[in-house]
Amino acid sequence: MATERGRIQISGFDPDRVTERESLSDWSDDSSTETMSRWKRAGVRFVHNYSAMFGVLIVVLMSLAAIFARPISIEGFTVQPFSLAPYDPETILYLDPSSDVGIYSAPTPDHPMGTDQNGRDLFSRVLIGGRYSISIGFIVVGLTASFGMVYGAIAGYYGGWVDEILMRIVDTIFAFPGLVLALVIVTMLGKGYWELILAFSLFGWAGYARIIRGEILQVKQQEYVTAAKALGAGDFSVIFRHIVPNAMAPLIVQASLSIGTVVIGVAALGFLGLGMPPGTAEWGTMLDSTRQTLIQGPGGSIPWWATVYPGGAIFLFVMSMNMIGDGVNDALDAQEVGNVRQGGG
Amino acid sequence: MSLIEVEGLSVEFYTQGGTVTAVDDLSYHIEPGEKFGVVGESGAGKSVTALSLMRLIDDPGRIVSGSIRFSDAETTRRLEDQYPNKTVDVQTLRAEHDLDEIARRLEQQGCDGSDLTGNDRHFDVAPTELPAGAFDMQDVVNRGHAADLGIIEDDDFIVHDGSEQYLELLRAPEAAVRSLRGNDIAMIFQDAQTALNPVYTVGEQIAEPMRHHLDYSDEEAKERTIQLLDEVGIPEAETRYSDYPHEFSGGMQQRAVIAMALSCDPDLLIADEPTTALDVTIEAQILEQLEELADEFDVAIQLVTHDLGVIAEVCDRVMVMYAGKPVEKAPVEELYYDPKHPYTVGLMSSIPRVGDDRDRLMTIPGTMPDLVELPPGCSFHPRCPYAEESCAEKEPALVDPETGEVATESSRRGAACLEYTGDLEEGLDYEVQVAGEPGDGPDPSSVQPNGGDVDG
Amino acid sequence: MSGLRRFVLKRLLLTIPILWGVSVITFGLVYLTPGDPIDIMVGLDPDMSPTREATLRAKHGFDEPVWKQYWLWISDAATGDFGEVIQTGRPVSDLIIDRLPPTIALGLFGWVFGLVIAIPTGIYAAVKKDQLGDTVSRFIALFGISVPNFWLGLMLILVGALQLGWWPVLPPRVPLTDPEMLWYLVLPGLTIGSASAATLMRIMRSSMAEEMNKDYVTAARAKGLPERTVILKHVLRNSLISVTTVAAFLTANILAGSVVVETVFSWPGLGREFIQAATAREVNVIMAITLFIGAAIIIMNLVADIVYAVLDPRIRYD
Repeated sequence: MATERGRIQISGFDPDRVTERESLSDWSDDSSTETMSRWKRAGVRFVHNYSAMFGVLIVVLMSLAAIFARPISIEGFTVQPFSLAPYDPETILYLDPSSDVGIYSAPTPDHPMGTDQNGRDLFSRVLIGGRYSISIGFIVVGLTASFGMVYGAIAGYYGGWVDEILMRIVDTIFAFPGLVLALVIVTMLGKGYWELILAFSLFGWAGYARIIRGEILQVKQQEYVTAAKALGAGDFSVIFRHIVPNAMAPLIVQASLSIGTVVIGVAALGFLGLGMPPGTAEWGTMLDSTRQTLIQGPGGSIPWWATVYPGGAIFLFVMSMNMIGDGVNDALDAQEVGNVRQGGG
Repeated sequence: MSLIEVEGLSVEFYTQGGTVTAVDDLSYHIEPGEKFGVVGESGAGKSVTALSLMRLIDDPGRIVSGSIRFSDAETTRRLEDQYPNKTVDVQTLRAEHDLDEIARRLEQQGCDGSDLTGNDRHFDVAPTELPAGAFDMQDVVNRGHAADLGIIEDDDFIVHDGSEQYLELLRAPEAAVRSLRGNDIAMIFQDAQTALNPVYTVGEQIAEPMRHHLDYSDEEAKERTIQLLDEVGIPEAETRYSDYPHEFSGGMQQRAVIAMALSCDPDLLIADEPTTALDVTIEAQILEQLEELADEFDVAIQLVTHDLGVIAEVCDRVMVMYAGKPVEKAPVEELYYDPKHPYTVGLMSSIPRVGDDRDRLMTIPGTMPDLVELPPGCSFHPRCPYAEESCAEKEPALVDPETGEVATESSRRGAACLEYTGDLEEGLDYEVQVAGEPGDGPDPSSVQPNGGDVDG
Repeated sequence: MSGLRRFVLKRLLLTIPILWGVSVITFGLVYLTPGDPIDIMVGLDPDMSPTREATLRAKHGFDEPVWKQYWLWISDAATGDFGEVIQTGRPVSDLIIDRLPPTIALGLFGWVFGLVIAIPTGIYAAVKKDQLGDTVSRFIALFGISVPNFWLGLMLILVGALQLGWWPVLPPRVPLTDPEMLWYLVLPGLTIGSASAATLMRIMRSSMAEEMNKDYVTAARAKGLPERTVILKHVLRNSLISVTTVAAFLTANILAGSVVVETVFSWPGLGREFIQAATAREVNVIMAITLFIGAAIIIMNLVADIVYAVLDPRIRYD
């Protein structure tokens, strides 16, 4: 039937008239959504995410408590003079004759979380206990994310046998749980702050490398990368000025979720007696000694506070960190609204 | 009565940016065996209309008002057996209730005349003031007033009126609608590759609705599936039965989807951009096949597309949609030789043609507006070369271009442009030239848009 | 199915360099750090004569060059010989065979618990997306991934053993095959499985939700299938594909968890042995268990990939 029809031609539909005339109403095409950058939009979405903001609040409060609980001095020079904790976390209180507490004293208004096995004020210890785990968490994530980014960028950008070898190494690392590797490392190196950082950093970058590589393989296909190459940009500049910024989003999500994982890992090693030296006011290490009190079993009073509070602090911090991570994920990942599934084509 | 009648359908989507009225007060009908085209750019509401017919609008969307009536004697009987208490007999209602009384009660509830008759002419007329015969008990039932007034139950969806019988799909329980889907009303999707589940064989997916709706045994369903695959033109149907979708080419995937849609011998086939994802040669084959099969299976088609060429190929009647509203309705030949709405004209002039001697393609400037915030007056005015100040002030109704009267479902044509109500000063000055019959020399005969006397 | 066989073969070949890499990491970590086990023995026994020290070194091969030591270790390990526990002289392989069953029992229990909880909850949350049930299960999942397992274990002992008295604080010394062991597995099993269950549930939910937006789901609904069939037949099968990709990761989680959880509950498995070996710097034991964990995860990865290929017809023909 179509073939029987003559060819139809329209004349007089002149689009120039639309572009040249004055607008007939004050309605305009792009009034509603001005072009906001992806990051700015993500920022707005993040700020409007209540659970993520709650997480930020808790993390900030706990970090501030850890920093300001006791003064910090570096090489004899005091950089942080405040001292919010009511007691010194290392002081054994019952040695002071005027004190009415002993070991494992139950919580009182004066000692809201009771005392530990050495009669030290648990509240002060919990406040300062985040110093190690939290700072290790941030340092490790900073180190591993940076290294993993460079490693993954190189593998993804160069491809071929470079990629093949680099990614086999990553696969190998993935054959071990991070905690097991960290455990072996601290076993061999010994306990301590920097040892822990090394233990979690040495292999912790592999996850980031894998993510960045995957992103880069995608971004590499994009035309602007080809264009940059065609314009004679060097490899380094193509990778770090054109590719990496566009592959950052999942890296940031991963980093924000990893801080909690590292904090749990540090605390777990502490609990296993392999983290910080015994007696250190570190959340996991504090729990190590309380396990004995539980194993002795019923009979006598159980100092539950020695278990509940330090572990609760870890839990609260990690949960807040995860809420932030989820919020970052939602903010960066979410589909653009406004263009909902309507219409065909 | 028609196979399907859509009346006053409105669908809204709730987004962060605001409420989007994807389909706004839409009415149309399709006769049994008719091929009805719905055309428009992306975002015009075509696909939403298609999904609404099957009540498949998902969150965040919702059908907010309207009526979708499906009339097929066999289907009605089947559902009557299943839902014996959900039947309404309009004749009985006529005997039991007085229309004047109903008009009075509706007036108290704040209804106006157009709510009752569905005719814009009766806007702001009190129901009791309506001329005699302006509405009937069927209108009271169809527009939901009967349920509102408690004359019938909210979910009474099977309607009898003498020899007429139909189902009100928007009042039907979910299970009843489900028994229609894939059975009486089937759908062909735009992208066959994504419409087929990657982890099941093609054969299994075609056989599935037959086992479900027709109670076929596994063997019967398989046998029929192979037969269908063969009919839609897939070679070696028997071995292809157990192939996975990714082993099919794009064209074959679409054929498989067509076989799936036809499997339960439906009365209405909704084809949503069935050839958009295919290349041109395959497109022609598939369209031809679709047309043949439609005749063979005696099935009505609602063909949704953005491509006027596809419509010309297949359809009998066309509805052009813009921003969720119909802007023009016409039999296909008349639409091509004598388009009435500037948007239709724009769509037609932007089709590239071989041997075109124009310097450049006359495309429609701009894009479909954001449905959250539509332009005032005629939604098309910011893109319309013929727009005048009045276009930004007054929203044109769909009128019969001959008379300027509000178009009804029985009107042959309709166009929503102020030109036809005499509100445009300059008028529309496009011309349609028909460059002769193929093979003939150039014999341009020009047709004035308002001539309206051109046959195909 | 020949496509599948080729895929499995290819995957098997790929594991060889990774297994080798795992042995190198294991060996490297232990040997590239200062000091060896003999130094510890010297530390414990300052009276040890330098001759005895040297004999011991030679006996365990600690005086050889690094590559030779690696070769000695890996060739022995290939035959199942991991050397002796330095302080007791007991073969390490004996120790592992002894400690393995309790760990497997605990790991399996945790795995099954994770699956049983996570799959239905994940489906439920995805179907009820953004409704109350979804919010509640998401919150529980957030709890599950955030709670440190050692603390959860301690709290369960505190409540389940000390307050309620339903369980003994330490597991009784009965054979694993005793049906009563199922009861004693509950607390450590819950502890080890909770994080995996939470992770799996989140993955299940997001992959179900993602699948549910796909066209084939609308197509299945348009066929008139009941919502149950649409979800359980069409969507679930597809989302399980992405879930298998994390199965290996979850095994790693559970193995790492066993180290901590066995210590909390004094469970006589490999994990607790690992910690004891770490405290005593028993290198042979540390290396054997590390290698074992690495190999176990590689094998789980392989299994997961094969399941993936079986579930997803598209992969077989790559």
